[in-house]
This record gives sequence, structure tokens and C-alpha cells, in this order.
Amino acid sequence: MTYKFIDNVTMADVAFEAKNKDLNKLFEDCGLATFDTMINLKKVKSKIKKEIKLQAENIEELLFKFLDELIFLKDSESLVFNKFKVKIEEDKIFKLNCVANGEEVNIRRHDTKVDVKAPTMHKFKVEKKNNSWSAFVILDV
Amino acid sequence: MELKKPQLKKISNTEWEIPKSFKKGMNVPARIIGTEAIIDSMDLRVYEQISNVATLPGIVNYSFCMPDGHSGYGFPIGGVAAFDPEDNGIISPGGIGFDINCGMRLVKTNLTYKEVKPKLKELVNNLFEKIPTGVGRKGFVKLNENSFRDVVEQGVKWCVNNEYGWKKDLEFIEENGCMKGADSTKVSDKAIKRGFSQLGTLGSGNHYLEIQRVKEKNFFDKEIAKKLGFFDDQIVIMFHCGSRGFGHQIGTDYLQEFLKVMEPKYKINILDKELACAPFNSKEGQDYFKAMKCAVNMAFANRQVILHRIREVFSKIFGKDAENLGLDMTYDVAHNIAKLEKYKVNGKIKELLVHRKGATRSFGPGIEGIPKEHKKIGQVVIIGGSMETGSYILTGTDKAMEKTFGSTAHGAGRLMSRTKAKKMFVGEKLQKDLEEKGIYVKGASMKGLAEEAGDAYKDIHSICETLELAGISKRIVSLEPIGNIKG
Repeated sequence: MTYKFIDNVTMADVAFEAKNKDLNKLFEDCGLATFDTMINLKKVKSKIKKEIKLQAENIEELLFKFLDELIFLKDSESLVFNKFKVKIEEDKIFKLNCVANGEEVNIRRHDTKVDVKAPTMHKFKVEKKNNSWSAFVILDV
Repeated sequence: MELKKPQLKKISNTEWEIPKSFKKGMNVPARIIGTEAIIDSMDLRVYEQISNVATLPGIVNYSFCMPDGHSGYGFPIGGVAAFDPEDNGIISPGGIGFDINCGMRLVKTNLTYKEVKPKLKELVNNLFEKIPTGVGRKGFVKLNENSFRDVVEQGVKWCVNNEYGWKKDLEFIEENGCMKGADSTKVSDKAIKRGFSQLGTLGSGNHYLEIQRVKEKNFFDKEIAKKLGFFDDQIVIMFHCGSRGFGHQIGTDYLQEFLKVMEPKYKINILDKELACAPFNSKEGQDYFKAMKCAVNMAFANRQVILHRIREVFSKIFGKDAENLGLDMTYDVAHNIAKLEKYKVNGKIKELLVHRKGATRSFGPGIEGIPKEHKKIGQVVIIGGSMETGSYILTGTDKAMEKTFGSTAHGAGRLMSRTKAKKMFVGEKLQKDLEEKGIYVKGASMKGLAEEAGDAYKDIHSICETLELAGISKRIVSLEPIGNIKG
């Protein structure tokens, strides 16, 4: 796990920062941080596999779309995930393939926390520095 | 970047101004409503954000922050700003919030505390069972994507036609429960898919449903309190929720769309991506306004079907029908919304697009758009406090029309971040402490409960006192919690 929640950035929302040398793993960490905001990840069983395919013009847009899609699946199919396998390819545009593992939410079993409404663009950032990737995200809850 | 508190100009004991010179690009000054003590406790990002809002095109008079304000993204929570569509005025999803038409509803009963107390736990447990709360929950109204489109275009009228409400409920909802001009073709399939199974769900975070006790000693204006149907030891029900995933997705979709066109097409430069906007009189601006209205109607309908559930539960537990229990609406009012309203600007009446993000409409007596029965007293304003400290019913004033584009506060306002609150409080202990104080709380999440501890919020009493001192609302009665369900 290479993400941490950051205090003192936003009063009513949730901010996190992820760091990883591997871009694929950075995206996986951001997915985990998003569900860590909503549930106890340890209590989720891998019962359902969901494939996600997305593309975007740049890496920031790709992460935004990825988080938006995860939040969409949480509401439209009541799914929560605790395992991601992401593969990103760059070919003029950025393409993402992800297999997410999880199950339908169960408020009695999953120690639910707070619902995420949306990823926000406030201070949203994905960058590569000294051979390592980092992302900064604020989630509206 | 280290934030500095700007030099605030004192306008009155309850109004403070950030001058245009504070930041390059400010079109108008920013004004914060609050006593000196409230201003001192504001987080510094509020000043940053409210002055960013002042740079947006077409803004009229001032960008405002209400006394319950705290930092958000884009606009602060508690932000109010009016834009003139004839002067390139904009519409911004960040000035409304992702939870479009998050709002408050108050329902009366003719029951007394004595009658409810022995059944309080049963009542709260049943409400918790019948009204889905928390992460990823589905509602009890079975809809498909097509019938959901009817709901979002018709709002509460759809609910009444489908036996989820009484005709007279419509009178006591802002916009009578349906903002005209909602067009579901402007809403993405994704938003429809995300929302159609969520009608009748409370959500989580600071969303709640509360059983409250009226005490005559808490009447600030006895005459108006009685006129609104309050009496000593009465039980009332207040709840707070919005347009759920449907509204959140509309906000997300249009924020992205506006970011794409704002600079290249409309030459608008902004200081924070969450201030993404488009001219109100543009295709993108109008499309968003029509989509936003769908979310507004969805939220009104959501609160309506929740009321239907409340009526069913009370009816079952007290063995009487809801009519006989007097389960009538007091009012339903939005606090995340943008609306076209008329105001006098430099001596001329103008139609402006007023954004309220964590701010409540506060129309004074006689203004069009408030229920006939409330015409003489002004529009009812519902301000929810934390689950420990109680809530307030106020009325709108003429002064709010003159000063703050008919707007006032919406809640207590956070004082402590969620992360910090989680470190300071433990949900289970909080629940036990509250029970000892006579407040029975049932929550979907113990961690979520800790984040909503009373001490994480500003003092609701001083917020409402400030609103009255500033003249933008008038206190009628404060209400004490006895039971609460939380998402």
C-alpha cells in the first residue's frame, strides 16, 4: 500500500496521495484509496471480476476517468473492490485495461465508512518526478 | 503555499469585506457574514476560495460567504454568488456542488414527547430498516431507466401521481417540488444508470434523518412558531439528503465538459479547475442548467419518497393513519442549487443566476415563490445542526433580499476535518454517550458517526444568532434531537 490520507487540505472532503515507481501500480493504489474511504478493504471477498477499459488523451484525464468509473460501478451495480490489476499502454492516446475484484456491498459485513460522491479536480495531479509517479486526489464525500 | 489571512475591512459587526485589491482579477469584493468570533475561527482557505469566485465573469455586487462557511473546492461551502446573464455571467457546477439540491425537509406530527418516548427505539430501528442508508444502497421504489426519466422531469408531481405523497405536500416544497425546464436528454446515460435505483435512499456522510422535540422555551417568536404549527413538547422529523449518485454524475460530467470549452471557446481563465464554468447563455451553460434541474427534481422526489416511508413507519408503530398523526410538511428547501431570481441592481430590476453552495434561500415576506400560508411571515429556512446540538427553523427577511441575494446559512458548518474527527472520536463511544443524553442514534457506519460528532462542527446557536444579527434570517424556534439515523 503506497497511499496515505492527508489531513489539513480540505475540511469536509477526503484527500489522498499515492506514490509508486510503476504507473500501473499507482492507478491500483488510487483505486484502493478510493474504496478504503468507503469500506474496510480487508472485509471484501473476491466474488466478482469486473473488466474496465478506458482511454484518454493524457494521464491525468485517465486517472480521473478511472476513479469516476469505479464510483459509477459502486452506485450502478453496488460493487466494492479491494483488488485491481491495471495495465496502461501509451499509443498516441493512453489506454487502460483493468480487472477489478470485489463483491456487492453489504453494510453489515463491510464496515462501511463514508460514501464517495465524485473525484474532484481541485488540486488534482498526476506527475512523474525522479523516476517515480505520484498522484494527489480530493474526493467529495 | 502558505495562506495568509487578508486584511478584512469591517463593514458592520456582522459583515467583513475582502477588497478587490486582494487578488488580481477580482471583479467585485468578497463579503463574509459573521461576528468577529466566527471570522476568527474561519479556515484560511475560505478567503482564498471566496476571492477566487470574485474573479468569475458577470459576478454582481459581491461574492458572499455565509457564517457557517468552510473550505470546499472551487466555491467554499457557504458560498453565494449572483451572475448577470446579460453581462457574460456564467454558470458553474462548482458553485452548486456535486450533490445538486442537497436540502432539508421538516415534517410535523401531532404526537407529544410523552407518547413517542416509550417507542423511540422501535421507531428509529424501523426507520433505519425502511430507509436505506450508507454506501452503495438501493432504494425501494422500483423504476427502470425510462420511468426514472419521468421522475427527474416531473419531480414530486410524479410521486404524488404514484401515491408516494399527498397533493398538499406540493405547496410546501421550494419550486413546488419541480423545477420547470428539466430535460433528461441533457443527462448522460451514465447518470441515469447510476441514479435510477437510488430513489428513496439517504446516502451517507452528513446526511441524516432526525426525530426532534419542540419545546416552548425554545420559541424565539411565539406567534410565528404557533402559526407554523409548532406546540410545546411536539415531535417533528427533519431530514437532510440530496440527488444521490444521479446528481453527483451530472456534476462530474459537466465539470469535464466545461473544462474542455472554457478557455478555447469562451476565453475564460480560472484560478481553480473546480471553478470550471461556461457562459449561462451558451449551449453548454443551458445544457447544464437543464440537466441540473433534473437533479434538483430527483432530490425533491427522493425526499418525498422518504417522507412516504416515514408516514408508513409512524402509521404502523402508532396504529393510526398518517393523516390522523398530522404528518404534514412544514417545508422543503434546497441548499445546493442555482436559480434565476430577480433583484434590484443599481436601481434596475435584473434577472440574475444565483448560485448557492451550502446556502439556503431566505426570501422575505410577500416574495413570489413562497407558499401562500407563509406569504406574510416569509419563507421557512431549515438549518440542521450536528446530531448533538439541535437545529433551527428561521424565516427569510427583506434584508436578505437587499444584502445577500435572498440567501442565508445552511448548517453548523464543519470546524474539524473528517480525518481529525475520526482520530478524536470513537463512533461506539459517541453513540453510548448520546444515548445517555437521551438521543438514540442508529448509523450504518461507526467511523462515519465519529466524523459527525458535535464537536467537529461550529456552534449552531451562534451561527443562527449571527444570521439574525446580520438581519438575513429571523429565528423562530430551535429543535432538540432525540433520535437519529445516519448513513
